[in-house]
Amino acid sequence: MAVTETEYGPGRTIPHPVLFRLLDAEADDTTIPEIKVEHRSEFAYYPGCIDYYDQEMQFSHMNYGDTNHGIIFDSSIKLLRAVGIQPMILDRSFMKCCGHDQLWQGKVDVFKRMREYNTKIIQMLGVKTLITSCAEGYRTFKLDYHLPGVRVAHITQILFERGLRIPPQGAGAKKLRVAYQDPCRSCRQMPVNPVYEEPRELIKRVDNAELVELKTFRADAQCCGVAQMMYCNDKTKGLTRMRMDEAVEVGADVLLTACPKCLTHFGCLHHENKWKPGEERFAYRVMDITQFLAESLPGGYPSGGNVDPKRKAPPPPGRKGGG
Amino acid sequence: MVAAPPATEQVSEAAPSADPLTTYYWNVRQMNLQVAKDRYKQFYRFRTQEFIRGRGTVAVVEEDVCMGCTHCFDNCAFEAIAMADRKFALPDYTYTSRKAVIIYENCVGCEKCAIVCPVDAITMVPKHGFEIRDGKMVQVSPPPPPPAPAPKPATAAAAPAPAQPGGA
Repeated sequence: MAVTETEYGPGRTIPHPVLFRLLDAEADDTTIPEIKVEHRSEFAYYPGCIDYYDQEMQFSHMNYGDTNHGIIFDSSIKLLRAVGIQPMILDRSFMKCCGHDQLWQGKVDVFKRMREYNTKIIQMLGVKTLITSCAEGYRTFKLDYHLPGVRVAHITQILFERGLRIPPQGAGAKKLRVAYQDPCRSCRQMPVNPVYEEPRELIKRVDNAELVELKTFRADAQCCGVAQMMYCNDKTKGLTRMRMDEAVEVGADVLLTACPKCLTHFGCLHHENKWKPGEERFAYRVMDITQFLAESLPGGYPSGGNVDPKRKAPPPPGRKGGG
Repeated sequence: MVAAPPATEQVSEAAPSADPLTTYYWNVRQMNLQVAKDRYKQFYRFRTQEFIRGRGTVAVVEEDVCMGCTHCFDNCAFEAIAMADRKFALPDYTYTSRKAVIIYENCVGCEKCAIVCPVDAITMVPKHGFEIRDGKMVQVSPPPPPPAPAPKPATAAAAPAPAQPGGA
């Protein structure tokens, strides 16, 4: 494919070769997996590709304990159980990727294969409510799949309508200014049921959190910079930086998002600007909203995150001579 | 808006019956992580076979694609990569990004940087004087003479030394 010269530099086809090759190979894989679900329920939770992102972030980016996608799974389970849902997990040993990235990259045939396969499995398992913690999964299952009789819901919608109660944090809890980034896929790009209110309502239920709005929010919200890992270059990083600067301007302590991809890109830039200690530009945490809510609930996580506890500090720059 | 818990679900948060469920979630979680790790490992193995490598190759960076993650910089064992600052400007925004720069003299063509690059900005090409013929790396021209400026003072210093005993 010819690289086309655009106004701001050459267009670029898809980076992150390993992740996308992996997902494409998954779609081509025709072996029939053994489906064993120990706990059946009509509520199904689909964690999506979070483990793959962690692998991507740890192996091909530098992630030293900042960005933790695996905790989204654990937080979601904790929150769902707190509102009385004990979901079955549509895990990746028998499901495939929902196909969002492939569809938006134009690989429609790959997407259709994934859709056909996933639809078959979801209907076979008798799912009534499909819960995703991922904005992209929400949009894809809701709009691009045809799942009759299945309600697709984002986890914040379920938590809101079930009335998640977060106990008071106590007098010693630190007051937090919390900013929320609206992911494009669950908000602006949803013609039906956009998830604007539910996350904000849930954040307000945490009593030591004060919700602050970024400079652009709701339908006008600026993008996190990258659409589904299509690009990463100077331009996208500039956009990410603009968005993260907005959180600096409102003095946020925590920047929340509901999309693992936003988390990836924010986390990447957050780490990059932390390279020299003492010169941190972004002195706030970037978290997924499920993690934030689950941290406010008493009790621990069922399993914990993916991040290796040994990966704390970056290696000394260069010269270490080994991976 | 507070809905009652549905009848279909056995809500027993405090009961010890929550234990098998927690185990179930824990098991699924660990299994998924293992699945992801295994699949990734396989694909990284494929990736090591993508590039040419060896004595006759050198890495090249495509600057437009490089995103300055410093991963190659960290992984280079031969101090053959430096990071340079590059500024790019949009009409109302500037951003300074780092770019990898290959130090040609140090690069031994081990392809490690190309493997770890997340955006495929680094590729391996034959060095000057090398070519790929029938899938094999061959040397088409003699290697360049040993770097001239460095030995010169040495020979200049060495030349008078034998000349003096010769003259004496």
